[in-house]
Amino acid sequence: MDKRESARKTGREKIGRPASRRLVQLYAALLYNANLKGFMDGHIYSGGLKAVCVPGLNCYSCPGAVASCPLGALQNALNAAGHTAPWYVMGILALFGVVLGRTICGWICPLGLIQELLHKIPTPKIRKSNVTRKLSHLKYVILAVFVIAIPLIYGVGKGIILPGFCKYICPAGTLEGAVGILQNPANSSSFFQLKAVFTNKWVIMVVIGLACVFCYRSFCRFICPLGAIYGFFNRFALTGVKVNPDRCNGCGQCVVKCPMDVRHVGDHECISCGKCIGACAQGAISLQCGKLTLMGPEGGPNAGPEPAVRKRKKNGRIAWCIAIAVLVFAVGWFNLIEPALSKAQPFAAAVVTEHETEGDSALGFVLGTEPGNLAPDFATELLSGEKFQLSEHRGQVVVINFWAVTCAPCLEELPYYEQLKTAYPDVEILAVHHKAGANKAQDFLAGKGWDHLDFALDSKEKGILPLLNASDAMPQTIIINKQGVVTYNAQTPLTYDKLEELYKSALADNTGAPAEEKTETAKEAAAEPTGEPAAAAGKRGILGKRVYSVTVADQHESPVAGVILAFCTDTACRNSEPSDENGKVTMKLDPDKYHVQVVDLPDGFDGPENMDMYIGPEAGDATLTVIRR
Amino acid sequence: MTRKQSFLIVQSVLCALVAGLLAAAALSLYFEGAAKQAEGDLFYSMYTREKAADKLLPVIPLFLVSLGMTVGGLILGVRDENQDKPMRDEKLLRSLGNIRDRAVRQTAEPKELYLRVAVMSLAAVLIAAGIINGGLEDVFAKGAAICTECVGLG
Repeated sequence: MDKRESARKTGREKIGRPASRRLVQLYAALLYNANLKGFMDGHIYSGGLKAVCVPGLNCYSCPGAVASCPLGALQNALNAAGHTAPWYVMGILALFGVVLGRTICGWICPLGLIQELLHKIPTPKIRKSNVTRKLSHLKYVILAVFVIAIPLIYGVGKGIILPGFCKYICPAGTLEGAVGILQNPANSSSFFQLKAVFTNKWVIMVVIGLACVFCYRSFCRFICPLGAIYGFFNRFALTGVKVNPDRCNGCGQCVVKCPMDVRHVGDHECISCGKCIGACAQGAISLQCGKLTLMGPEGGPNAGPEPAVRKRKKNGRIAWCIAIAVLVFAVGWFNLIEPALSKAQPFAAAVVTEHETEGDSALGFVLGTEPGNLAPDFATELLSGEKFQLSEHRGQVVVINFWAVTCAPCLEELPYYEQLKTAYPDVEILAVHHKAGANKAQDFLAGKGWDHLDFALDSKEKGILPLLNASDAMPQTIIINKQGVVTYNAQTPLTYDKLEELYKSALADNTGAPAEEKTETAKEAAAEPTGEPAAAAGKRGILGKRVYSVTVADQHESPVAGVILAFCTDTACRNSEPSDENGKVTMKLDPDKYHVQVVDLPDGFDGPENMDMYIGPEAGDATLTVIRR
Repeated sequence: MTRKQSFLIVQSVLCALVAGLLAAAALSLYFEGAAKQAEGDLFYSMYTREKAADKLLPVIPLFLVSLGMTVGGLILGVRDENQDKPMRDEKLLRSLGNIRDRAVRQTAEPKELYLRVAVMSLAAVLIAAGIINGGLEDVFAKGAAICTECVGLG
């Protein structure tokens, strides 16, 4: 008995060469996510290739993704079907379907790879049965309801963007998109957005993951609407497993040993994984692309002519060499070459004047967009044709909102900004559209009647988003007080009540004002009946902040004035104002742990003894000791 | 019960525990946050990096044990042999009918080639029409910014 026969008897087929399929799956996952630097810097790739879809299910909001997800793109296209017919995405899906069919699922879908790796965990396994076969029809229901009906009904009927499958089910979006974004400390403020939708999707992802451990490709077999779409093309797809009618004896071993819910080789459930090739004693099955054999029986009487097998192996080696070269180029391009080219483009509108920088630095302010930072000045042209310069709005509370026509939460909250401007005419509101799809923004705004808002379009050249360090996650709102100091910056949709409270809070905030002005502002704030009272020490304020207090003293416990401290998290520091005559330094910060460092000491003092002083929400007033020489 | 069966069952329990804790972590953070917001704290953040880390901490030892067992199991070749056995669902087997006829009919269908060419041509026309009508830009616009509602952030 030869090795092949022995393997067949024990049911451990090796002839299907799962190892080479696994390599192709890994290769595809890496190629789809070649923007590896995205995982490091927390930003997604937003280059031109995002206009193209990859064949497999790979979330386009994954920091590594270099192209779009066909399923997400289809839902978006159906959402917008009222004004743009979804020809492009339908054409792309038809092309992928007719060329590759469900071979995509078996060979080049990153989620398929994850499911198969989970199934490798040694536990008792649930085998396919009549029940799993019936469950496999569920994906067609999900396709009809969540991918087609919900986006069409909400998009065309109500004008609301609602990608039903992405929003409520897709585990690829949760794993690659949400977890991919949240894992980076640079996106910590995205945590503020997490609510019921995330909780729901997280639980669904965990349940699907657990199901995949016990049941082979549970998501692929029972849920995936993309697989359902490609299944329609499987019967006549160019690539797929084919049966040689001269050899097949109808024993049915191919179906019996197939882990998917197929009725026959190559039907709509078949993912062309190739397990049946090894299971067929007749050597009747092979994986074909047109007339080209990609995988077939090797060795034994039914393997085909020896030169043909040798030629296939040689072609395979050549294909791998080309594929590796493509991957190396893609990784190099997306991580090294393209970033270097895009850096060469200047931000034409982003200017911070030297005078302001020097003056504000002298006051102890850091230029930036974190709360407590001085917002960098910039100028941009509004859609109305007028010019907007941030510094010209000193003395006004400025609200900057980042939005996009493709972002459903953005469109829900935009009317609140109009409402705020109507209720409080003194506020300046600038709504900046993301550079992607900016040409659609004007069409969208026509007839909305939002005349009180100033709209601007971002572009690669103007770069307001990168200047203000805005995320690609829309919507994001930055609120700047009358002195130009940022009081709020978060990526989360706001309700009108929240927006109004934030505005009032910024109005009452006197950070950055000279001492006499602060007194006046404090009086005004106290006189304002609807204004927020200043946060008391140790209590959380309106922005989720606490007032942290540190007393600077020397070794004799005498207070030391004029010491500037920095309150640092793992990612950023904020400088305080100099300590007062009682040695007090107070900072309004998020409830977090801070490492306190000395930035500047008066003459005659040395650094502190307790260099590694941490303060957290539970701590009371802390004392930092410096050494008087 | 053999050692192998015990191993597989312990691994199953570990997987279920890890999954249960992961789900419970998210649910508890959500319900805590919902309660705070119901009390009127509009700006209470349900999730923060620190809260998530605190909740996920108990999962780590279980996950590591499970991972170790998985690696050990793969090295030792411990697996559920039932998954390799041929399907025994008689009802399902009966429903298969004449596999050969169907598989061969599908493969040898002469209309297949025409259908393939027709769909390819249609796809090319649709893509061209989509590029002209702005569909390409729509895909780019959606893909170039983070789709918050798609990934569960919005």
